[in-house]
Amino acid sequence: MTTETRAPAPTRTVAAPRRGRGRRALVPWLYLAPALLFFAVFRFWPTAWGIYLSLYKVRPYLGNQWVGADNFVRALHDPALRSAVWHTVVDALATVVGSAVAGFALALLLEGPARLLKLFRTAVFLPVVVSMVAIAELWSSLLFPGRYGAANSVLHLAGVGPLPFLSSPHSALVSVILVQVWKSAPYDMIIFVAGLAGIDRELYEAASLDGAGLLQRLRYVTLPALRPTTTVVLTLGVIRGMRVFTEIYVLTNGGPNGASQTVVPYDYLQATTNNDIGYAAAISTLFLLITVALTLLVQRWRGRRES
Amino acid sequence: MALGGSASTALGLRAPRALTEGPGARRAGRAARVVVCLIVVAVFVLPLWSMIATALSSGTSRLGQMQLIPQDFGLGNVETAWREGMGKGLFNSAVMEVFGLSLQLAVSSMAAYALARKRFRGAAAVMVLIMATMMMPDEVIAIPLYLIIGKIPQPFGGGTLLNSYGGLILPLVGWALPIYILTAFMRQIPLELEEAARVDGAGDVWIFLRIIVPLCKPALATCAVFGFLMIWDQYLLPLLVVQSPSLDPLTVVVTSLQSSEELGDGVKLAAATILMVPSVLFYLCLQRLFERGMLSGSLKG
Amino acid sequence: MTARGTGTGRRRMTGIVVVSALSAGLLAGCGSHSGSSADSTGPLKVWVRGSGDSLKAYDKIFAAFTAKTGIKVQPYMTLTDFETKLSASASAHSLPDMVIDNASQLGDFESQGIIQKVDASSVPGLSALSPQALSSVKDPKGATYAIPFSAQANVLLVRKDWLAKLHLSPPKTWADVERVAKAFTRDDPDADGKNDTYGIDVPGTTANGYISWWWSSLLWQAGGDYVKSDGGGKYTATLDSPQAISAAQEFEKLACTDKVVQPGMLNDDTTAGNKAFQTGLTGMYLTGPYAFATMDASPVKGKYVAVAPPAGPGGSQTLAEGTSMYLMQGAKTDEAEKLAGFMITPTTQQLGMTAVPTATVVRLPVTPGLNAATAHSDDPRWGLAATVYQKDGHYEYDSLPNWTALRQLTSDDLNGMIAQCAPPAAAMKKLNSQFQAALAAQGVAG
Repeated sequence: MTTETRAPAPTRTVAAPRRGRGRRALVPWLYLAPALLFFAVFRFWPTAWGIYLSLYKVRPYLGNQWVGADNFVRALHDPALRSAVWHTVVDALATVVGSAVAGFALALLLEGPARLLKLFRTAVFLPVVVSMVAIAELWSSLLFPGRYGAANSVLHLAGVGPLPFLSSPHSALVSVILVQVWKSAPYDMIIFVAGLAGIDRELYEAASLDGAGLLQRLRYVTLPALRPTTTVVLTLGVIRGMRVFTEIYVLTNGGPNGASQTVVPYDYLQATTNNDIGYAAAISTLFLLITVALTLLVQRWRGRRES
Repeated sequence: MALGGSASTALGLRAPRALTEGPGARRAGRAARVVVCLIVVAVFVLPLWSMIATALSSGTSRLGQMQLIPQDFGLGNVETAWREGMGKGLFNSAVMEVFGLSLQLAVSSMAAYALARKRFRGAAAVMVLIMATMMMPDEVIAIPLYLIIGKIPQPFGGGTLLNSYGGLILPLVGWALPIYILTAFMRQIPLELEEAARVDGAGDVWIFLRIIVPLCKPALATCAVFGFLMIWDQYLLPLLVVQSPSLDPLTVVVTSLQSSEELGDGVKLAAATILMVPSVLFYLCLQRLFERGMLSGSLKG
Repeated sequence: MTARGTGTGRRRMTGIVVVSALSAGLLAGCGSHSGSSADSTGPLKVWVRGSGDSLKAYDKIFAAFTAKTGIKVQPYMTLTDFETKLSASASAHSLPDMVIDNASQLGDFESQGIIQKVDASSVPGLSALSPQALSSVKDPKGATYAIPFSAQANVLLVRKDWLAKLHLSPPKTWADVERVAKAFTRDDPDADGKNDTYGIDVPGTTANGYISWWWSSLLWQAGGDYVKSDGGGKYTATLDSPQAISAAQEFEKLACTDKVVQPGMLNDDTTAGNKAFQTGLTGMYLTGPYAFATMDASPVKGKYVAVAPPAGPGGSQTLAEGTSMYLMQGAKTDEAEKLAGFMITPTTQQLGMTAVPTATVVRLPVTPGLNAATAHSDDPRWGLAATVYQKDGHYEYDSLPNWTALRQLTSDDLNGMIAQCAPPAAAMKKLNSQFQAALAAQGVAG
């Protein structure tokens, strides 16, 4: 470590003790200041403004009308929102579990220091680093419901189909979920690969010597050791799932017949096409409350686990 | 042979010598594994490839028809897409990346340094506040965000941030993910390094810049890849902020091409391909460091 | 290294979150009621809802305007998310000077208060425009709120090579349409030995209300309507009339029973719909004459004919649409009026029809005395389009306070009905009561 031996700027050594505790308490905040400034201006302020707007019927050129809790009452009784919430839960759960399982399987298959494995991992990871706009364009072509659509051609080889994919209310949400899993499984894979790499090899050897088979090693060595990794994968997955927007918006726009509508695109639709900014803000506020509750819950749960 | 080097793979798939059935069976197993790997790779890569192949086909295909091998290979689609403003879009996206990503990394590593290596009141609350934003997608605060951008004056010159690079870039600087990754990574750096420097009389700034940041290179690479993609993927923010097409980033250009009724699917897929290439190249360039960052466990828990 | 949650720490943390949320709320309350309006100097900002080559046509028109008046124009055009941009800029009081958008936005814009009433005397030539076009820019009380720029009515495009191959003639009635559609779907009209063609092209997504937009021609051809006027600006929904139900039945027959509509229909917008016709997936497409240009730039050029919309039991009325110029609140009104006046001169209208061959931003001229067919070198398709517009063109109820919402409602229900192939009578009954409730919510229920 050459850095340690190099002499630091001498002024600091003088300055530090003189200012004492007050300055030292300030130091972390100085480091945090730029980030907090950006978060305050571009995140917290709009969020708070949204809360304020949720209490109004917003009419920019006619004057906002105070409506109190009306927007919230409406949200709680809106059947379309209720089904969007339901779809969001289904989508988030299915995507999280689907990606985690697929990612884990991929990690088992592709973990290792060999060059070819690294190459495979890099290749498999590609969907993660492709813009969602491109992915959506690609999959809406691939999932073309006609007999000669790419996905249907592949299914035809297996004697299945043609399937309607995004164009039927029965399969739209499932199709979107599959696209999401395709894009996020490699992400989970990399995190699992990191987890797997951290497992002590000797545990496997020991288990093998004790006569443990492949499945037993998986169950008694790998899975327990991966518990923290799994937590991260699931947490990130839930975050991704809750906020799903582009996939839905570009692939189906919530259709057909609202069968794949989720909360965020629905909220967005209210604010834009339906021009009901106050109502949209109320949905956003409810979303925020759930978000904060979830975050505190996770934090608490992690805190408990760590102590 | 390719997998021969895999001395130890997941699950210790290579069982201790005493338990294996013999070289023949092992070779067969290895071959089977390569085949499975190739199928898996195909699942993730072929769709992307078919996009490229269709984009490189000249001659019109039917709605929804994709190619695996370019039919009548030609660059016509790419040229058409390029003529429709992709060049300008690429430039604007690049400007957003250069300034947005460097600011994002700088601001995030400073915040992470405080959160990971300082003990202070309110640290946990700050962490919660920042993490909570991770779950709040931009779409739900789009309108108020737009209103605020319209209130903030330009740092240089007159007017507000609307319809300016500032308005496209500054809202992207504060992002929770890099702070999360870097904080986790910095917590793993042994305290002794810092203490030794402090004994030598080093100040915070020196320690941060000369010890912590260099050690964080892999984590920074990880953040850079995710940050690049986050900025590259911006669609809604530019849509709201930009009011003259000369500022539109690539995503907006590509999306408006997609709604064109004059251009064929090939051109649209060519546009999507042009959108795909830079982020893939960026990832491939940082791939080694990126994977080291991931493997070092900054996201492991 | 940081303090990890002890009991009190966690409580304090929660407190901080709540306090900061509240104080930020107060902060926002203070900052919310200022607003800047559009610049009083600088170029005229014009937002156009459109895509692709249309921008080039508008660019030429605006360049001619700048050359003539010295007033600079800064156009911005988008099709996807146009409404998003507009509502965002309205909320910030930073609207452009002029918006060029569908005539059907009129009531919506007026009820939001974002457009200015047009003083007919200050836009030269406005009162001399064709009465049919002028009717599309008036609200129920007869006040003018926009300036028409272009008009069109839907015609039926049919693949003539497919007709010839199967020895069929272009359809004139609903029954003909059903027969031809079945043949196009089942008898391999493109002779490639594959079962890969469909009879009818429907942009059936709920986005922008496309499915209702397409279906409205059917509704009027069946003799039905969305509403009936009770006089005094009040309306009653009539979507449960036998005629309306038969229009829904006809749609369902095509999509569910005969299965002659392209797959993917329920998510397809007009871009996808055009693409389906252009690439030989579908053989019949009821659409506006603006599509001639885009079709002619594709392989389907010369392989189709345009015919009058088929007659249903109630006649052959068809959807008419307009493109209108709206003067926005806070606009540089004088200059915007000048531009509007310029846009409806015969020269500009002519330019709009022909400046860019692939994008006829003026479909049918709103200025009397101009002939679309002549402008397009005696193209009979444009002659047909003009005739259909005059004889059978039927606008939507653009001037209702929020037609967009009503159209969206209709679209959601139609899309749902077709998606499930649900019984039309029940679906229309349900739609009608929702529609009536929405009329009441807009304050125009009879």
